[in-house]
Amino acid sequence: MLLKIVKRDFQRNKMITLGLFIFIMLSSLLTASSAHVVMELTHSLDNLLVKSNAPHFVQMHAGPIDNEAIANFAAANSIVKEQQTVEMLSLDGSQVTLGSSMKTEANSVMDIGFVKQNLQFDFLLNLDNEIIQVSEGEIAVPIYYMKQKNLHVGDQVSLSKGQFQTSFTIVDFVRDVQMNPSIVSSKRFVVSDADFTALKSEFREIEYLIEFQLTDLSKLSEFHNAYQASNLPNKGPAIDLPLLKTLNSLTDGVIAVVILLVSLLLILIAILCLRFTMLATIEEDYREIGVMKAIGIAQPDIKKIYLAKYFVLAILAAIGGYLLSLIAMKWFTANISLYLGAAPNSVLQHAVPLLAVSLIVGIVVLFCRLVLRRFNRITAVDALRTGASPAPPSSTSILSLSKRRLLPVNVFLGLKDVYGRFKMFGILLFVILVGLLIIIVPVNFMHTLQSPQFISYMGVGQSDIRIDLQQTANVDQRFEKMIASLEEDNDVVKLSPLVTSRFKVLGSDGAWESINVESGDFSIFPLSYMDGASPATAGEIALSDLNAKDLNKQVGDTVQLLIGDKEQNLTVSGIYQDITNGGRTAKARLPYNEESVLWYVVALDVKPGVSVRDKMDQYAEAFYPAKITHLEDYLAQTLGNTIKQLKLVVLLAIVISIAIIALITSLFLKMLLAKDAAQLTVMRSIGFKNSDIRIQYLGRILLVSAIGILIGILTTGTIGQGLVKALGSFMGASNIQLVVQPVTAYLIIPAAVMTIVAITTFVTTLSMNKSRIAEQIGK
Amino acid sequence: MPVLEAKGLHKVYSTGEGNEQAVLLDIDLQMRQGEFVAVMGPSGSGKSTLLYAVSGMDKLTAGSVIFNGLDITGLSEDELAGLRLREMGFIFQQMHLLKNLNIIDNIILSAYRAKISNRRTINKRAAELMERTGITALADRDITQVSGGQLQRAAICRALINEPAILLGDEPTGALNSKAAGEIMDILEDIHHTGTTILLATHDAKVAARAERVLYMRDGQIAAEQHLGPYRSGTSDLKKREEMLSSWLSGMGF
Repeated sequence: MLLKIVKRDFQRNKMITLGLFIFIMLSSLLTASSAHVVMELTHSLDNLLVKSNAPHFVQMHAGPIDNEAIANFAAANSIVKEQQTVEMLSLDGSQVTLGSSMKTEANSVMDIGFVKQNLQFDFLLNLDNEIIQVSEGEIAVPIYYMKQKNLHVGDQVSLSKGQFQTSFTIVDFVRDVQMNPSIVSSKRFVVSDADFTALKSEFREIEYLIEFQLTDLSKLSEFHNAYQASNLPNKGPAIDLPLLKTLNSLTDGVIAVVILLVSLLLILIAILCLRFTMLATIEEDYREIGVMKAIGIAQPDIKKIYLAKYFVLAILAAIGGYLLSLIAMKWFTANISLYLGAAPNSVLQHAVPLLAVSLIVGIVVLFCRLVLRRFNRITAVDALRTGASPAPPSSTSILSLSKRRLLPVNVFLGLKDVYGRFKMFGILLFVILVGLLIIIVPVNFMHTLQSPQFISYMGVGQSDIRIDLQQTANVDQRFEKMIASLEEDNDVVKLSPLVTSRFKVLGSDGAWESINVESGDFSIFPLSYMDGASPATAGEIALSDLNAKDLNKQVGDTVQLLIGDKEQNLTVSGIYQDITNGGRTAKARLPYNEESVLWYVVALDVKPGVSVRDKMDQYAEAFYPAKITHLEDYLAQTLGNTIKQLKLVVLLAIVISIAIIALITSLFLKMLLAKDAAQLTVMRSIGFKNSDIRIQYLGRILLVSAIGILIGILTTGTIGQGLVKALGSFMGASNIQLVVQPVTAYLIIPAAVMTIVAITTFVTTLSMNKSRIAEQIGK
Repeated sequence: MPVLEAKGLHKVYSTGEGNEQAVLLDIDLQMRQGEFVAVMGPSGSGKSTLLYAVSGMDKLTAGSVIFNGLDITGLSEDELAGLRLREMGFIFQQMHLLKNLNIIDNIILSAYRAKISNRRTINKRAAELMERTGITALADRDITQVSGGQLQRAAICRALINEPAILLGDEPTGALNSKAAGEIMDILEDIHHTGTTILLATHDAKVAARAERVLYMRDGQIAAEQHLGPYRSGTSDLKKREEMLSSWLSGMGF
């Protein structure tokens, strides 16, 4: 009996049921997918950390090194489990040609390093997460280049320096726990020990990675401070395990969060969708429910009939969504599998998404029960007599047609109805608002990442060209020569030399910590500051957001710095955002000590009309081995992978959002048409055409969507901004300003949403009840 | 030329599994301009169906309806809606006013839509109609705030706002008490005397007694017809017409 009723109901509302099915399936698909992504990310990252035997602390260093001092420090420090010093040959991009490309990597923002396989830990792995072993003449290339340059096994990597020329055959690709992500601007190529020794005699630039594994990870920051407090080599950035984890999970973490947010919004909308459908069904069945009650069928039994339908529907849709997610999983986790490797399957990996999907079924059933409480209010007599639920009382004289001189009747009726039943229309408004947010926020986020202004979150002012000079022999002289040469260059309009040195700062816990401070005139290429301004005098310092938080300082507070042997108090002039170097940097106008200089940077703008590319080539030759970067390229190359992944999510968000808006508008209208059937018949009986009624509904729905869109646009400024800030702080910039392309965000997307709503309304009202007025009036 | 001419009206409902039930069987009907005709008969005899059929609200199985010289049976839904809007007024037993509009808006709605004249003129006409039907004070009231009789008066105003060529009423007093029903009939009679053609379906002999002609329907056919002649309150004896009609009806087995 029950099955018969459910079957009949499925047949009666085929379209709505199918729509709802697809909808729950879609929410299940996304929820399961985001759960998959999170599980896969955690598992793969953990697996990679284990397989590569990741270091816990790495100090990069360019310059002379005292291995004995390091060994002594390690031996004296009880929490050091293992220590190794990795030699990395730094090659200039102009010396390297990859695959069949005719061009060298001169314009690449990446620092190219050649290494041999490590013996103790920090293993460089291949795509199967096995420790790479290469023979003479062979090379393993970082995954980053495999993707960027579309390299294959068998391709060649050529090196040249003056007369010296050699080439290697690619036999594998490197999964590097330290330098995998594109946001890390160094990449390690693996060659055999013999080749490494041979190359070392040609390319003399060596950078050291002084790596440690500890016995107790909870003492990591203690160890970090201990290392920095010692006189051990430290000319270069230092990274630790938490930073490694963050960098590795950045791209996919952002994606997972975005998918999760979209799926959360979807669940919310799925529930609303269900409410529309159920109310429409109850409305249609009002009389039948009355009959069932009148003939003595118990209320719980009647409820069971309705609940059964949605329970079956939710279960089937959730299973469908889960199965689809198993297929989509490959799509969503492709990036993770490539960069972090596939982790061995575990029960948990499948159980968590399944649990998430079950939760959706639970929510659906719970919500059905809540809606079905409405049955308590239906009395058999009322249902049989009126055949429709009682309309809520509304005040009809606030907006009176007789007082309007110009407003067309159909438009008036539409407006009046929205005003009178705003609570009900509010649901549609909310859905359109959320639908719009699902599109606009990711689109804006993507625009933000793509915008040139984003460079300011990388702790850099916006300039045409940036020249980086790392530690090399006579680096200070080279730097001075470079500045002198640039100052004489007539094509250069603005020039800002900046020197980064390491100092000691008094931490919030009273201990001295290391801090990298960039010195120079920051008014030439100003950064955007979250708070305050750039340091104007030698007594001021600007801190990166994370440093300010660590040191517990705000603008106006005093920071104690150890400059040489003297303690000096600096006032915090501003706080800025920086997602580079682990987000911990500072800027000041300090005299620098050549001994403690880590690197030099020159930012410059060329005259309008001067080709930036030509200038870059010219400088690359003149200032070799300095690295010349076009800032737009820098963004494209470091954030390119994240943007690419985000594009996928944006595309998905657009498709889903459009589907939601169309489906909900259609369901809402169907419910409305069922509810208004009697009134529509009256209207038709007194001479209103179907086209009049269609205009009225079009007016209603477009008005509601216009309000929804308007609120949506205003909300993007707050909710969207909040979301972006949350995602940004995950990356080290907690105050990313959303960059909005007004034409896209305020015109194209809203117009597209309005068009979809209008088309859906038009199509749905085409199927409006065309039965004879006589039959309807007679009911 | 008759205002309304129905020829061979035939209406069959399908009751499923190939079974059919005829509700109108070869009905011929003619109404001249300004005539007041009542249709009587037992429940299910086809009275309402006849009214819906001649107003284009129901589709015929066969036959034709000529309204003001125009065959409306071949018209589209939209053309029929336009005809109802401008040339026909309809009063239902259950009033069927729009819930979200107040009394005045319900009355003027179809006139504003038809744009028969400017809105000021329409408002003036609505005010006159409301005064004539005694509901001026209720203009701004919600439809839930007035009595059934008052609602039916508003429905009559709505039906007359576009000065239709014919007024059709399906049991207009059926949901009212006898006092309210009497008042409504006084109004309809008054309207009839201004020259409006009226076709009314009713169970009530008291209502039908005011008509010039009464048709008796049985099993979808016009079984008989009674000419009562013109009625004018004050000069004609309504009681006598009622008695005459009742005895005729009882002779028909009603």
